[in-house]
Amino acid sequence: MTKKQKRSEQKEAGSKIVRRDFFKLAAVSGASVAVASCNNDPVEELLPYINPPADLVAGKIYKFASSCQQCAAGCGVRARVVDGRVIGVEGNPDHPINKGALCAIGQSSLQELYSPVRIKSPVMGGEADTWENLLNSLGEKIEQARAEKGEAPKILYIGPTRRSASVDLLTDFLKRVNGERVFYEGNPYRSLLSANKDMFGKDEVPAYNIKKARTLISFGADFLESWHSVVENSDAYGEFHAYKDGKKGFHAHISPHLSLTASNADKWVNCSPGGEVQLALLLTKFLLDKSSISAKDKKIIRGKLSKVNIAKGIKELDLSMAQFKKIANSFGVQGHGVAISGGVSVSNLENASLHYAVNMLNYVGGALNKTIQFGADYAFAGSSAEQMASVVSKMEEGQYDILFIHEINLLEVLPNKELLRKALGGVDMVVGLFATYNETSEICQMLLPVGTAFESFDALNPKVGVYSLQQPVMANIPGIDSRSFGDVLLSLGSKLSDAKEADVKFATFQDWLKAKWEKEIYPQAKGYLNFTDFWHKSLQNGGYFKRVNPTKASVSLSCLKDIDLTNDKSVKKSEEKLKLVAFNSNLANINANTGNRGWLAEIPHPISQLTWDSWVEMHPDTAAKHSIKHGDEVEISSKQGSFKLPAYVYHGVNPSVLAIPAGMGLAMQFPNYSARRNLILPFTSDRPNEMIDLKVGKNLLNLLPFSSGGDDLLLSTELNIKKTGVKIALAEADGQWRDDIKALRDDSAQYGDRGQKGRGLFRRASLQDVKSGKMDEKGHHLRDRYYTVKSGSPTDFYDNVDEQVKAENIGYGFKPNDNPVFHKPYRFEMSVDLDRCTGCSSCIVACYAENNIPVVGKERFVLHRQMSWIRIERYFDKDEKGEIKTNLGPSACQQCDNAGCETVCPVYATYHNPDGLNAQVYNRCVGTRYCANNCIYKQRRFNWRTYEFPYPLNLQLNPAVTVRTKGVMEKCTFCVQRIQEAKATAKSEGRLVVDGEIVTACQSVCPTKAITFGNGVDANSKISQKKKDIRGYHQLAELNYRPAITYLSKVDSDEIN
Amino acid sequence: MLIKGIRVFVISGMLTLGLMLISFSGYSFIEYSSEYYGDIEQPIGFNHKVHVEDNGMSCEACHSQARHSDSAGTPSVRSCIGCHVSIKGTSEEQQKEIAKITAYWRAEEPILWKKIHDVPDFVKFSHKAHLDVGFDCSSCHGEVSKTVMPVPQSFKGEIPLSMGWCVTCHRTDWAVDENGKIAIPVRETRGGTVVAEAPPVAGHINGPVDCLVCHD
Repeated sequence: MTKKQKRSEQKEAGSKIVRRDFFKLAAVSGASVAVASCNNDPVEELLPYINPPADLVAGKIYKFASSCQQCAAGCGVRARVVDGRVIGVEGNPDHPINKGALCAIGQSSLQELYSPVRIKSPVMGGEADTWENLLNSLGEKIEQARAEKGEAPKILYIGPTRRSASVDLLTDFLKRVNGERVFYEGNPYRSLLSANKDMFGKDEVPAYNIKKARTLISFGADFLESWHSVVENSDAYGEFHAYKDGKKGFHAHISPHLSLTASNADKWVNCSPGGEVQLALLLTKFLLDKSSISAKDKKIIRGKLSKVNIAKGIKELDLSMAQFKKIANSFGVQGHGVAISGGVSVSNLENASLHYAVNMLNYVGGALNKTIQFGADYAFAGSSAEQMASVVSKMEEGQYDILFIHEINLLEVLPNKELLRKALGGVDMVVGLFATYNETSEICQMLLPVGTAFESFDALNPKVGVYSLQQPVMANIPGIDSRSFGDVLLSLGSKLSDAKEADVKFATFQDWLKAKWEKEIYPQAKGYLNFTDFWHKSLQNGGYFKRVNPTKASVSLSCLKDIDLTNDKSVKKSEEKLKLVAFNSNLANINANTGNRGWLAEIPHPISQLTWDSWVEMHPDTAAKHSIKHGDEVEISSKQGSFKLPAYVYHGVNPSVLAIPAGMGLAMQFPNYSARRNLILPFTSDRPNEMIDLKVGKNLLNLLPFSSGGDDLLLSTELNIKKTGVKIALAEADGQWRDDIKALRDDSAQYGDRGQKGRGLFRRASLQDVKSGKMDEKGHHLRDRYYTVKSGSPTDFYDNVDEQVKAENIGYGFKPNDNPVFHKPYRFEMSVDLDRCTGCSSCIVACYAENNIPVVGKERFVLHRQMSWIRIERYFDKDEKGEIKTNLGPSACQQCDNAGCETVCPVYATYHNPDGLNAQVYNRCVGTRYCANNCIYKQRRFNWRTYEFPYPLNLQLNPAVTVRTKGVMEKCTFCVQRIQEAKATAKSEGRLVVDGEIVTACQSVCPTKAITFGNGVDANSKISQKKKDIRGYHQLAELNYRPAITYLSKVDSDEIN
Repeated sequence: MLIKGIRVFVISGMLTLGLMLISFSGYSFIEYSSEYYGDIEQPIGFNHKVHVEDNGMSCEACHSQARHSDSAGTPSVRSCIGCHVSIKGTSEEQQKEIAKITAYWRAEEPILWKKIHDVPDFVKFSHKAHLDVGFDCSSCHGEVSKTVMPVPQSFKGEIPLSMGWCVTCHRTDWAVDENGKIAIPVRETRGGTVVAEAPPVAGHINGPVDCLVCHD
């Protein structure tokens, strides 16, 4: 009997019974499913207030002004609070530092507040205890330490670098108990301070007046990412660098690594380490003759630069004389130029004298006291590396009885873990003051949970004249018994035998702070009824701000005697050994305080587009030399240690170095989706996935020695690389067409072509073209070419067509004035000014927070199942001169009027709404994914599973936005919940929505104001003005989808070319 | 042999089916069977009829957020105790229930009321918007004022709170009264002040039928 016969017989004999039974059973089960899941919603509970705050409206978003504590920049924030919990943070528009914007790390502080690894109660020796018990025993311990004889302090405090009220209280406290304090800062501010003190007599971090400058040269300083006051700088950079009235600032960046800042520069000078100093010296020498400085100073500098040879130096930096002259001449105009030096990439021996060289350049170029201003005294500089090394060695010797570690992940921010562990072992009692568990909290005997900035009072003084208040915007999360740092200090003070009147007088840190402000700040303020009035208004505004005039710095060149400026080190390029270059980004930095934040781990690094890991960047030549291919695992070793990382091959790094991101290698808890994926029962909030411990990347500090001495931690060492033979699946958001890699003959490292392949998604225009009004579709000759994926070229998706076909098809059958959809009274549209966008990724975090977007994890990211609704797309394209340019910009759903997604949806889950939005109705979606297949912008995201928000992360969810479950398609709808809210308000007031009333989440945090949003039907709205801009274009306009996002081309500066 | 084959087939089919049944339906059955409506027992035997019908209180006296917010608001324990600190009830039954409020207030515990009128979590319903155009609470909630203890069944027939029911109303061209508002009865106890302040609307008005208004 053949199989076929057998089956047909079975069917005849058995089908009646089996099929009938099957259908019976199926009907029963179907009914039960219906009964169980549809008709009967579980009964929910209404949870009323016991004693509600006055005038509180349920479900309304209240905004509270406060301050950000994520770095020392001290930005003002507005916390969006609904029903007693924070659901988002945005910048405080009244704050003089960030002016309404906020960076990615600042916004991700929400995930610190709602971290699943918050310390729930005070812990002693691994066991939970009460505050009262632990503070008593700590008080006794302090008394004992104080009673011991000897002058040397027995108590040590290590904390983050801040200038705040709680640090003032700490200083008082430590004075009483004879304690010592050290403030950690990983960025090299100390060496800048020394140089400024020696040359300008000012021991401070200056303000860079980028807004006023015409030419900006950054020497390694990633001032748009992590150096200095990032949001303040980005805001100024937007004004400086954006095209306006036929003008545009010129920015040159020199570093061995293409940072985000470098990618924004008009000219990136790719140098080997030490090239930064060299360029500063060359420019100084070139400008010296024309400079307006005194003849005496000229003579000193000339003497100092006698060995500098301009022609030779330029050649070594691969610059042409014409380019160099253009940079120098535009910098040299009095008050036009500003040179900024810094960033972790210059924390090396080769750049030891960089700050002196750049200070000299600023002086000679006429920037001092004009674009570089002293008097602001930014609170960035912490303790020096020397001081840090000395306390570590004293710890090892057993000098300290008590060590307080406050919100510094000590084991991850200093090199040589063995030494640190040994040193910490030499301390009798290590007290951790942390909000969340981390690597360092594991080794603390006593853990006191301190509240985050959202739960505590404090006042920051990030620069002179700015007194930024921080207030608790919500009560403690249920189950977490934390206290603010100030309160801990006060209650600890009251336990001591010499408890001061102050400790007893002030029950809370809030009272202490109020008294301090009444005494110190209130007398400076004018125009208030009384102190209570002043206090309330300051809390509302986010602080007290006053204008402070800059102080003039005078120059003393006598210090140059001891500084070695000849800089022969960079001249002899060591070909043998590769050098380490560490770099910070907007998402992680050397201060390593971004652990356990899913948003930051999942958002791609804007240049490499990599997530969930650290990586080693190498030049294609380096890769070829070691026969390494893109994505290969390599073992990196130095004298101190080694680890394995995937190789990221691209041109944005100097062949003499290997670049590794700093601040990675942190522990993180994440739901373990993969281990239980085969189980039948779905995961719900009652039945969550277990959490597993991950390590995101590797910490580069493990490669370094603990170098004592000097101002800053040196991040330089020589590296060896070895291929391990393992291929790593990179979690890359870069969706390049992988098949074409083989076609590129000169690409032995197989890193492929990361260009736009002729599509012109992110366009550039020359300043001349924009000025003259003759914008052609450069690099995107739509009318001449057809889009094809079978193109013969690996770098271009378009084929040329002959003249006759071109003539027949010109216009593609649609006229510019065609209106596929009629809109009245609204069509919501957006514009993105690519000339302003820096790629800082702040908008992405805002979108994650606003729209309840889940974090999917590395395994699913590798399969491109990320859920982000807005992304920074990055392309490297060669310009006409063969120079590789970075083109990046945000990309979200384009809300097409003639959308492909809408027509293919079988259930009308996506449709065009009257306001011009591509609506997406989640409860209607059945998950066919046809829409995603038909989206030419790749903006739709499918929920491959029900992603989790482990407690208390779920408290961050925005109640206005549905949390999507498995099988549902989702995408950006221009923050439709905000649109609906504004429309409802307008309707109840009997008017239309006014321009600027709706601000999308991405728009609200953008530091450079690149995003404009509004009603395109209203001819007077800002968006209508932007649409008329000559630089405006739509992405892939030839496909006639009629997108609602207008991009404005980036403008190439003509200063250099 | 053939029969044996069929038997194996049937048994294995049944087994698979059984597994499928457990995996699809059993899950939610086990979880929630005890919590379906019908078994609702409120923490306090609150009597809507006594408050509204007998003593002439307005709905918004307690559900004070309805005019200002999407949510109508559940009265806080303080607003209950505000009156019941002096009103102790006439019958023994009333006194017993009112004593419970005092107990909650003293213990500083919230009263966990069970939700009767519930729409799914993916639906956004704004009380404010509906009151603004002149609807009365009873339009959607039924005659709560005449009910001692409302339970979902009391309204299921006429007011299903289903999407079809919502959309039928939204599609209706409502005539406009002299106030420029929908001409449907407005309870006196709710007052008509805000209705008078609202701008006039010409012709007829109807609710939006754009999905995004309720589902976003």
